[in-house]
Amino acid sequence: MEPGNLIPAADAIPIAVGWFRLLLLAGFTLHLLAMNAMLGGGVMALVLSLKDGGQAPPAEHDLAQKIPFAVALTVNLGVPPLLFLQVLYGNLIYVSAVLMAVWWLAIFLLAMAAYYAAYVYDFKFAALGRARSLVIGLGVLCLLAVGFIFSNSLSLMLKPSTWTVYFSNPHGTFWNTAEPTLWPRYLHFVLGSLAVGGLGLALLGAWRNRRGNPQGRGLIRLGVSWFIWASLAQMADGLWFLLSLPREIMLLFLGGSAAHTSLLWLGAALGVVALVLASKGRVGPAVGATLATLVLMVITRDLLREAYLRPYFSPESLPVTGQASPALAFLVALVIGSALIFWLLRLAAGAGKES
Amino acid sequence: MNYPVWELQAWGGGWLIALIAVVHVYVAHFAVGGGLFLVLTETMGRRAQDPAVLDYTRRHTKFFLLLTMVFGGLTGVGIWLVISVLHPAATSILIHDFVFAWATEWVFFLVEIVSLFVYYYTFDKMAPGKHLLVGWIYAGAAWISLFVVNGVISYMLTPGGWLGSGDFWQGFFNPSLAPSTAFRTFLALVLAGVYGFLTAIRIPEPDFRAKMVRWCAGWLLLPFVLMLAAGWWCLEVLPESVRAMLLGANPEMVAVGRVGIWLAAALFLGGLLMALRLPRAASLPLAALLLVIGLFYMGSFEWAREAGRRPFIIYGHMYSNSLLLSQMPEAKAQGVLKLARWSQNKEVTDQNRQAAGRELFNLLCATCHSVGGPMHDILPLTAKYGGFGLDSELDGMGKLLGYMPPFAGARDERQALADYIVQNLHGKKDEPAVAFKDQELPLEIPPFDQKKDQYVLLSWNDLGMHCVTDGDQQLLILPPANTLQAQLIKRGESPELVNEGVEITYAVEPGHSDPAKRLPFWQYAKAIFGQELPPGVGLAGKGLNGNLDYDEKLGVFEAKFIPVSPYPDAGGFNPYPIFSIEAKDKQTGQVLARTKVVAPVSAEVGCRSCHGGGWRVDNIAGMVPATGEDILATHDRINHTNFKQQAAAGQPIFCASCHADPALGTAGDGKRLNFSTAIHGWHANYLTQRGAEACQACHPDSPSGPTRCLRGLHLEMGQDCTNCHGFLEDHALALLKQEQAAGKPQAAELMRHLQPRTVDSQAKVNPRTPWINQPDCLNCHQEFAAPGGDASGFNRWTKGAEELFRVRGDMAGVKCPACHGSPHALYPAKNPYGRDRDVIQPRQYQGTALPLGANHNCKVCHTKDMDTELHHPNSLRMVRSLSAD
Repeated sequence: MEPGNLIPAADAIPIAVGWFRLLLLAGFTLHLLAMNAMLGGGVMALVLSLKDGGQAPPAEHDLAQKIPFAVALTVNLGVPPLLFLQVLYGNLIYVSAVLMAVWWLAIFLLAMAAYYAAYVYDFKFAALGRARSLVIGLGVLCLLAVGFIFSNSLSLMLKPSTWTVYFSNPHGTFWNTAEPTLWPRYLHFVLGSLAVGGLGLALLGAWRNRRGNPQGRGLIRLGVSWFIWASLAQMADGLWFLLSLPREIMLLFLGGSAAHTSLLWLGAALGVVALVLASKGRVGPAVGATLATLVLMVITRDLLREAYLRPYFSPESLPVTGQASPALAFLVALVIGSALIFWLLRLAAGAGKES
Repeated sequence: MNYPVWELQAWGGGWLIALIAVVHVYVAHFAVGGGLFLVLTETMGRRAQDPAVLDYTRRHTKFFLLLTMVFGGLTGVGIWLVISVLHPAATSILIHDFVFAWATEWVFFLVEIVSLFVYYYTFDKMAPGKHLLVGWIYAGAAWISLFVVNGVISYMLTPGGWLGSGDFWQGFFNPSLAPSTAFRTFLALVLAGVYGFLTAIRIPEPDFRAKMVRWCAGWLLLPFVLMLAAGWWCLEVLPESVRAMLLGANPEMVAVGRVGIWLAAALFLGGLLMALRLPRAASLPLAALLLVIGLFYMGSFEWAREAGRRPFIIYGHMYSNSLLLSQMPEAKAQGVLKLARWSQNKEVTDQNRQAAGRELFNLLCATCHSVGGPMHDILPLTAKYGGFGLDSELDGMGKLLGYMPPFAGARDERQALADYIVQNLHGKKDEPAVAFKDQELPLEIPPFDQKKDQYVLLSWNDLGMHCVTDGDQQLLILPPANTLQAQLIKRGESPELVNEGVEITYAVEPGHSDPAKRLPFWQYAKAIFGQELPPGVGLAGKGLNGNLDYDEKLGVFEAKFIPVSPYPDAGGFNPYPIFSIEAKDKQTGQVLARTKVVAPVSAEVGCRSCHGGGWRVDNIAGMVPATGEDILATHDRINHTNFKQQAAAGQPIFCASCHADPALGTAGDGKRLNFSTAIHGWHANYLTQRGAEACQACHPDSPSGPTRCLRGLHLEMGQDCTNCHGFLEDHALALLKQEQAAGKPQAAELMRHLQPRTVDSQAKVNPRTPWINQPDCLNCHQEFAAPGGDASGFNRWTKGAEELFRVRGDMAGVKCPACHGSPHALYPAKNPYGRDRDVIQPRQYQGTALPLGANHNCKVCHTKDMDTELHHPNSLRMVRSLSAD
């Protein structure tokens, strides 16, 4: 069976494809930041809980209080990229979801378990004692599993040639583990989470430090060390990821295409800059460089997806209906919503000071 | 037909969606009503400066946060994930057409999260006015979320103008948006009260507990009436077809609707009870019970919404199995396997039949039906069928019962799907029918001496076959009621019909004299007809022997409704019992003439082909209780009758008591279709595009069966039922048009999907009344001559009963069947139970099987050769059929 023939016909989109690409990449970047903070924070909390010998260090308690917010934000900020991904690539992601439907459905159950684990870990922090490791460990395990499922489905979506597996397994239990890029891709996200999570902790430390909180320095030290080690590992993994790509795609990033090559290596270079800055304790600039790296890597990832799909499908071929008014309504809602959120956060930041 | 289908087997049938969706919406509605509950409860506490109320509000907020944000939020994602794998094509439409509705909803979801966090974490740290404002922002954002999501959900039920324009706003602001939003809003407030109980009953201090429980009861009770009114409003705005589906056209709605009403009542009563000051031991379980009742009430509402949408997932646009309405013609023309991207077998062959059937099941059925699971399990729904029955069921699907989509596929795909379900899922073997082998039962032809005998006694059965149903415990379609007729001719140069001074008697052959022994009819006759009927006596008072009475109007001797049975007393099956007929001089008692006649009667009535059950007798004939029960249950389900229960209580159903039947002389209730029209009109929708096998599925004429009703000259000439009666669709349409003209609206419904086959359009089908307007023999046999090659008896009907073959006579008054034999057994007929069984009189009087007098055998009655065609034109022509002897 010709794999290309299996690709479902796509539905029309209301406005030009570029808008959706922008929304997808912006939404994914925000989701990635929240997810990194959540997973990185979770892993760090787990390691701290295992190391401390029963005495919870302040950093662990800090993390425990922050993780539920990170989960809530990750889930919420996961909505736009998943929505816009379906707008541009629905005909592909639904197929990969069906092929691994059992795991696909497990996502929300695992995420829910992780979410409740995070709340138990926070609300019962003191009462749990040593069982804290178990609770946060379970949460982290669930989150790692969610990430693994997403890595599977999003890599499977790019390879229609693998889809014929449906005819021997229509039960939705397929794992895309034969895909050479799967493990480096998955590891890329996990290591990224540790690095960004570490940097986030360092940022919290820097903020506390500025306010004269003596715990600040400790948090910076801890966060930066996570950032550095995870980023070094990330470099090795990045290379593995690059080499595991199909040759013609890999060559695009090695001079074959100016856009592909420059974006990837500029991103990597900025990553190195962030590393150097962080190692010198300059948390703020390191955060800036890391954010820039993240944005470049998100765009590179999009180019990689395009390269994979070139023989089969491009969202640029989607018919456009041209009805823009719902998009404008969304824009109005976004402006109002953002203003409300800004106001709410200001209000919250000021809470307790006026009474 | 775009996506692969997740093969779920027992887990299928919409069970996963139902489970995730119902628990999600239950919590999601709480998230909406609960927001208002929080802010108003806090307002109450602030105004009264009651720290206990504020403390309660804070604790309820924590519960609310953990339930709505974590469980509610994640199950919402869960719905998204589950619909994308179970209904990817529909999900794709919802996403692409309403992407900015979802995006807008996400914005308010984010506002909800942020405001709820701020509300909870700053409960005692913020100025009261600002804190309340945060609560109001949460409540507002939550309601907007509901409104936006409901725009898309209500669009699926009533897409309104979107269907024509594809316009976002027309789809969003669809006809049911406002009433369903109102309903959901009030339901959300009711649920806020239900959830409120859970925290209120845990308050330790009794007076305060009672106060807060009463406060929650108010939340449950006050919006309740408004919720019911909004529910009524919802029903009012729905299109007629959707409303009909909700009000019972979809049979599962009967139960769901009833359960919903009971649950609503229980919820309200529970609320009233909670408002009383109950002891904690009582209020605790009651609160838990109300939570469960609320869940099921929510479930029944969502179920109804889904059920009203059948057979669509997006009403009027996409069927539940993801086939677009616009794709249906293509799917039927080229086959759905070719249309589907994810099918391996693109056409059905003998080699891939089961594999193709499985793919067809996945594509067309598996979206809604599980295999052995808790929801919409295909196994019990199809357990009664064989390959033929299920194929027929698929043929009729979506035509008369609108909750299923029409079968989308080619003819051979339909059979392959039926075979897969029957043979693979049920593991049944569709055994080919064991062909009945011809028998030669003993028969002695009475003697006749053309030189000496002065009388010729002719006798026949009026219809050539009378069917009898023997599932009387459940229902009576046709009682044993065979009618024999006779004419006596005094021979001479000018023979005369003898109508006076003679007595003509009939007597069944030995071995058939006790029909009550094997037919259950007499056990139920009193329950059915209200009066005792002695065993062996028929509905017109005739037994198995007696007199034929002279009918002045018809000009024949007749014994009506003789209850002869196809089951010989000693066992077995013989649909052709013989009667001896004798004419005597009334005064002297001298026997003037003797003959014999067959009284065809069969219980080979094939209801079981589709209604399940086996044959009752010898695996060849008769109706077992299971078949009758299924017929009644089906009638109950579709027409909301209570027949199965009535029959179980000892009151079997006599179809002709409501549905008029001219053959049995019942007038029916005047409102319903007559029996023949109802039964043919209904079943024709399930048996389209077939030849005589459609007729043979029910009537006893299977070529391999034990009756073979059509056994006369026409069979010999290679014809079948359809040559005279038309194809089943034609036959049904003619009956339906007559009832339509009589002002019965049900007829149009049954006609909607029937395409005539012998003529171009329904308009060209001539209406007819059953048993009265029949195909006229002279349609084909113009001037009594041999017909042309393409002659068809269909669509030109006898104008009245007097033109019927069985009533009509020649100029001398001799009835057509007297010389030609009964309908369906025209001489020279070949009976499977003996060569001469259907041609006794031609054999007796002229030694051949040809019609009496044929080939110049005038001397059967006349004492000399004749040269004028007095009986009818062409009567002196030599007959064609040389195989007759």
